[in-house]
Amino acid sequence: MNIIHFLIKDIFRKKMRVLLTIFGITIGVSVCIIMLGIGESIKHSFKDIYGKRHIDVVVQEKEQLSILLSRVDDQLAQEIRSIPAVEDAGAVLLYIHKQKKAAVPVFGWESGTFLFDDVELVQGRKPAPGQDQVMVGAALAESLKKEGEMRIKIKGRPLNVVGTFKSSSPFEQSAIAMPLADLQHLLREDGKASFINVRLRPESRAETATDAAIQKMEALSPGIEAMHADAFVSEKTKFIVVGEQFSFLVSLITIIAVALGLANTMISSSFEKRKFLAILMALGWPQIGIAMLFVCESVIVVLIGGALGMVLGYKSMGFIFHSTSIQAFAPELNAMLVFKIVLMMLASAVVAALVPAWITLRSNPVEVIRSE
Amino acid sequence: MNKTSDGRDLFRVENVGKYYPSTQSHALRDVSVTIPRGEFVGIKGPSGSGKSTLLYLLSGLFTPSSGSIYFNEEPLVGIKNKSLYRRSHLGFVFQDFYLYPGFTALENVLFPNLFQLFIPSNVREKAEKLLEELHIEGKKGAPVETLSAGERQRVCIARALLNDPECILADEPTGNLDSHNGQIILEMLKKINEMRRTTIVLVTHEERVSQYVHRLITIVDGKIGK
Repeated sequence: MNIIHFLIKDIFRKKMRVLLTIFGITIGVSVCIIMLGIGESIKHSFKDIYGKRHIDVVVQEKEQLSILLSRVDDQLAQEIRSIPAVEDAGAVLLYIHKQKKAAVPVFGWESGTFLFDDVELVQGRKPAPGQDQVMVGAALAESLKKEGEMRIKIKGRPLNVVGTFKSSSPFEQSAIAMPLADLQHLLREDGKASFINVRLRPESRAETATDAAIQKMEALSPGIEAMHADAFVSEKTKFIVVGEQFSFLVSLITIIAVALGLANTMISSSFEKRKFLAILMALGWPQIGIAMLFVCESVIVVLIGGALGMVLGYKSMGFIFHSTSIQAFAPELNAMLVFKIVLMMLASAVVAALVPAWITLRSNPVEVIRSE
Repeated sequence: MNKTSDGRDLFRVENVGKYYPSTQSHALRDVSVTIPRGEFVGIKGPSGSGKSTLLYLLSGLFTPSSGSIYFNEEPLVGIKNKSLYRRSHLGFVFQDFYLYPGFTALENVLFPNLFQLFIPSNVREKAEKLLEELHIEGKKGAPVETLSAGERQRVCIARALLNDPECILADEPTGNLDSHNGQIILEMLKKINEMRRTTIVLVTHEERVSQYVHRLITIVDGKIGK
């Protein structure tokens, strides 16, 4: 027997109480995962669009906060391509289409640019301009297949699905892509784009070279602004993930509630075995040993509840994504988010344990032994 | 000096008094006593006479209100790490056993060393050997709540002996036992004293203890009686 064996055996002596505590922690952690994870998943999905496709700069309407409302002339892409530091540039028109109950992003990509060329087809072919053709992301293709549909109606116009593409971004996986001119026509926005994605030449990707290229792009028109792709994603996702700070606050309150519940359990536990603890102190257990008894017990309960909470949170997030209008996204548990939640939970476990440990260590063992 | 003592004092208590502010009572007044190494000493007295208080003063769990206590000629008040002092030099046997239910006899014997992350296999072997010496090796895997009172007290003695203490402090160890089991426990303590030369300070109110101990100290109203 060692201390861990003792703790596990001791914890489960009071099955109902510990199971209820673990259940509470599980719910608390899953709430945090959902609250913080949804935002993270959406952010990550956007980052993938830019990072994995080597988009370095995004040009959009100046001082426009909404990516959906931003409008620039698509001709600007041609002018940007003439800048020596630029390898390629493609105009994009973004529209959110309501497909039954779900919101499906529709990308109008400029034909003949890397936006179309880099796409990895898994089935069929790329849509030809002026033919009422679209291609869909693999996730959307899957759900269309289930429904037996090979046509999509946008703005009342039926479009043929001619290909399926694969993307590392869940956002694109559930998207529709079509030639820019066709989407412009459908939306009656000829000559307009939401933004222009720019890929720089490899030698121009250094910070200073990128800044110089950005200045040249901005000089092309007074109504536009060019941003580093990372900065663009951070700024845009701030507004896409409405209430990110609110989510964090709710998560924090949840963690505090969990910590208080845990502290209550730990105090009850210490009260129940106060005589035993007094005996351990009388037998010569060091104070740090007694404190560690509480901390380890608390940490074990938190780790069990936390692990279950993460699984539940992840599954719930998937359920939320698939059952609501944001099915374009896939649940994601990135390492930093898991680390943050684990850190918060461990901190709450230690705080919850220190209260009863302090109460116990302040007491005189003989007085506790003699108290009954 | 008795025949088992080596002549050196393990404990020296000088003019010790203990006042409990909470009850505004003097548990001990001006008590002086020496306990040589290897002695089996009984402390006898009626309830509330202060005999257990003296025991807990020796353990460092209480501090005297006045006077001094020396352990191996070192003032107890000067020992900063009282936990280490108890762990290294003392063993405890209580009237109410204070074993932890849900755990086996062997696990309870190991409790004094459980704060270590891993208990070495030789300590475990030693615990098993102690249970064997106390004739309860067959119960080592049994949950303590299934043991008889006599068996439980033997587990307590094994627990007290785990770290080879110089002294066992026993607070009415036969108080919850019938006379037969009480006699067995007293015989075991006597044997431990003789075989291991462990000093034993035994608090009791039973007359029969005088047959087993080398010396019987009587405390009445907080003072050493005659």
